[in-house]
Amino acid sequence: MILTINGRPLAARPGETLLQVARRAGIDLPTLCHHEGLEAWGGCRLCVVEMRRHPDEAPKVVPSCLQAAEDGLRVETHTENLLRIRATLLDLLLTRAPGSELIRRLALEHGVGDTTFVPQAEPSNCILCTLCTRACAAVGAFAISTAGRGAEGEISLPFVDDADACVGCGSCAAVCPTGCIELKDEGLARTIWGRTFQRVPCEVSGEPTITREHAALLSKRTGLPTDGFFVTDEGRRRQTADTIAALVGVGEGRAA
Amino acid sequence: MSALQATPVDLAPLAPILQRYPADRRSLVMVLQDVQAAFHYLPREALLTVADHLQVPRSHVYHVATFYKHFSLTPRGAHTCTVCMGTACHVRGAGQLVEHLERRTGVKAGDTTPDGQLTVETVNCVGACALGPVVIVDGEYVGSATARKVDRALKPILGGDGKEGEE
Amino acid sequence: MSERIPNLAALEAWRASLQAAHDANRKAIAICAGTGCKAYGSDKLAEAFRKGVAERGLDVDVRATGCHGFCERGPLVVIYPSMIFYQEVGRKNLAKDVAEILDQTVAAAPGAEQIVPRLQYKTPAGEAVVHERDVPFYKHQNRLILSFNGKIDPESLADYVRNGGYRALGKALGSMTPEQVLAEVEASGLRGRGGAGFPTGRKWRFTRTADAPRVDGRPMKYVVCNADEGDPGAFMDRSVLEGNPHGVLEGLLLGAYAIGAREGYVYVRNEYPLAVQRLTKAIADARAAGLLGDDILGTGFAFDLHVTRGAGAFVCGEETALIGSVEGNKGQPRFRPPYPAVSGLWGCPTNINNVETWVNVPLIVDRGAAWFAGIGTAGSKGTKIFSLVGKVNHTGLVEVPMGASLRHIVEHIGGGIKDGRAFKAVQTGGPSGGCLPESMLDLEVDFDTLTAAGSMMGSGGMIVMDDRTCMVDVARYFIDFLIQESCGKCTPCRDGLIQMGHLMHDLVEGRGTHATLDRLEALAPVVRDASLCALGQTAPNPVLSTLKYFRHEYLAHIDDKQCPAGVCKALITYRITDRCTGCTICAVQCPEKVITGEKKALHLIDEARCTRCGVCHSVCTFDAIDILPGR
Repeated sequence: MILTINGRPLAARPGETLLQVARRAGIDLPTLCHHEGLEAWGGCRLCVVEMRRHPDEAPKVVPSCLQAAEDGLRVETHTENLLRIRATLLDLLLTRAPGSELIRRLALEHGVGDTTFVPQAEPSNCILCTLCTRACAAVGAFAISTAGRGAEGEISLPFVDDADACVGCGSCAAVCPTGCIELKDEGLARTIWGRTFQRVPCEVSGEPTITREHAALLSKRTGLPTDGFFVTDEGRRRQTADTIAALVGVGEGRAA
Repeated sequence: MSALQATPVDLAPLAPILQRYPADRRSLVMVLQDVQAAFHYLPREALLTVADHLQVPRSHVYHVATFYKHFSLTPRGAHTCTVCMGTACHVRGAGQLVEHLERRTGVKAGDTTPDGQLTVETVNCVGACALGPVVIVDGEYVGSATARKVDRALKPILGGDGKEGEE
Repeated sequence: MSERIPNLAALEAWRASLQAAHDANRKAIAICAGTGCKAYGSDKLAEAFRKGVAERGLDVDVRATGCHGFCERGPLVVIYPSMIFYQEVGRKNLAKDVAEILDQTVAAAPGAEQIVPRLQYKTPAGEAVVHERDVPFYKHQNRLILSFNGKIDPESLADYVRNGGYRALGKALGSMTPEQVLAEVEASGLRGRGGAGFPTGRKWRFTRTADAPRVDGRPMKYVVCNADEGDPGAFMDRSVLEGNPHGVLEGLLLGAYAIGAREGYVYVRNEYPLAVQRLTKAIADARAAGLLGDDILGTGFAFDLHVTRGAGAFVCGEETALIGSVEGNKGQPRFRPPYPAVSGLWGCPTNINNVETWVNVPLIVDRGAAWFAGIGTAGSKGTKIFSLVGKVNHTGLVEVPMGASLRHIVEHIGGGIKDGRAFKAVQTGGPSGGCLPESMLDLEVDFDTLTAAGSMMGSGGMIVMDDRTCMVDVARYFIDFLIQESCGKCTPCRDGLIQMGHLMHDLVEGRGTHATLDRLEALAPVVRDASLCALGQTAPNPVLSTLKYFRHEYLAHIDDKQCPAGVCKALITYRITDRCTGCTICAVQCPEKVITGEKKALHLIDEARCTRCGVCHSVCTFDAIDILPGR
């Protein structure tokens, strides 16, 4: 199917979103709550575009991460209205995340320095994009969720203190765009959500791998034995090198 | 409040509630409704059992329980005084009734008196708009409410002769 | 009646026998048992009537009915067959009122009934009215849907059937195909009564034609009744659910038949316990009678219905959030498409309509699309129930044909502004709607005219405001409401409304400047355009419509530091006038103890320490305290 973005005719495949088509064409659309590995959420609204099905229609503002590509759509990505919307959204997000380098950079790109609005009393830098909770649901242990409603929402453990389900995988901290989830790795210890885990050292390199709890979760999900998870990339590289060496009979190395 | 929280909760009313609905995710809101009705709040221990029984993560139960205004995770008072804050009630002075109650009880709307007797709360429209402002004391509706009428309705709970508006 | 009705013929036979056994001339006392009248003690009243009738050995039927709609005048009592109308019965002296009504009106021979004057409705001019049909509140209405409310016992399936209930269902199952039922609804022009006004037949068709996943080998589709009625100030749906639950059931049955749905849900807001109770009973009775379940009326049609409750979230009135809530999740809207008609509950095609939409369906199927389309305007067919509340003399539920003017509703039915004050505005459409000023009173109300005027129909809440209502405060109220109810998923609604709230609070608290208005007007379109669902998209409406029609009030708050309506505490002064008799009540009641004065002498408020709580003004029986704009 063919649609036009900013006047350019572009090909799209069934099932694609406007965001995918635009990005493939090199059109820069900012996103915050989007992650290729997770289902589209449509909450931050930064990726909004204007679309029309017919030329004489009033344009409709839709999130490009969710709007399916359709034959004949006419899309604009950087109209004055859209730029104003994005600037305002980033201005609003700065009330929550004044300390986030990413938000500040995006805001500046849209002509916004410090927020012009009333900031949150004690900004946590969380923008409630829910990438963390969605990642936790997808690859983690359903340990965290959004508590409360509206602007009072907060990412939280159940009852604020129940970290029983957390396995210390760190996916939440890894996907967080503002870096507001505290994850502390010190030696083999990892502290996150108020709980300290011990990461198992790699049997080959001695470097920290993952926690036992995370390994148990992965094992349950994949059916693979837990031992296989306690090897770092470096460790695996060495193991592979040793295996090849042993097979070919070249060079030094430990037996596989 | 702390006296209420220290007492371990007797979870006996929970079992029949769990038997009432299919043991899966779709029953969650209905189960929470019944737990709230039986215990006057959602005790943590009860929610852990609910999570297990319905086979949903604790984080999901917590997220649903904290989303809906009707649910409370802290013990409510033995009695409840609810002021409707619908538009019709608002233009007829519901806000002043809330202020009166806050002065009278010493607690803010949403909180419970320290002796655990009375929770003062607001709700966004009970649908008795023609009688605004409406106050509900323990399920009894007081229509065309005034400070005086509310005091009279609260007399059995708070004491005082209910004749004067204050103290 | 808990016997199963085996087939269509048996249903009609039962109806005929009920009608034959019913003596239309037999005296009956109908007491309103809706939430409003119950709040005024109609339960005790009904009990007292029953006792009184038994004691006097009268052959009179005492019947508790659904909400009559004139709630502020409750408890309402209507004596059949003469239709003598009594209001506020039992409020001051229950025993006396009951005894006099029984002895003077009920026990008397037909034609010799005596009226109890103090319980009659009196017009603002002082004229007493005898019959319900002459009470201006009712006289100017067109009560098609609400006609059941006053007549039937809402807990009686027999009453519903006797009055024509389930005749439409019999007609559909007996002589129409599902496609024909759908075509009838399409031809009627019925538009959704929940707020969006989407053509109902078109929505049904989308659901009917959608591919459905198979459950137990058969395609699974759902129908849902949205009874969340979250707009504050609206209680039409409550009244229909409490007063005519079978009407809703019949609508759902017809819809399920037309669409091909096998199961349905009624999602009722938790704040309506009586509605939940009446619906649950109606469903149980319908199941026992074979009107729900497998093989309905022996036709092979199978449909069952469940009641589920909300838990205090306005956003759950939005259909995708409602679906989330029924599924056991939080009520968070989803992007559409896919629309629920294609993928709704548990991924199955789901048709969601409002209570009032559903209850129109049996009427359309029974009397035909042409009849229905003959009522209303070109773009909006049928009647609409409004909840007329606020500063009018007659508050309650009003059913009028689409196209009735605002003036007709506010003045003829509503009896004009209370306490002789001046009309200022009427707010329609709840938090998604707008405020219309006096210059718009001749507007003929329908979906499109209201939208064109900058408001919207919404679910039917119509809140009348007078010169003592501050429009800036009303806009603030709606923003505060929406801040509490925002689900929090999208930035513009969640964070944009918070900022609009700060700006509105600046205005009502005396800190507003012209820049405040500029910032509101800059933020509003972003919230409108970028929000995910209708809650956010329509949230700016109350602010924008009050800015459009009442900008002078905003400017008074900013430039003059005055609240002309006497509401915003930071911008008013309470002052005792020389009408004061020195009774000292205000000084005693003042919570801040800032009123001084000797007995029988003029009292004085220390204006610097006065918090403008309003207690003195409300307790003064001499109307001696003025609320002046400015400080």
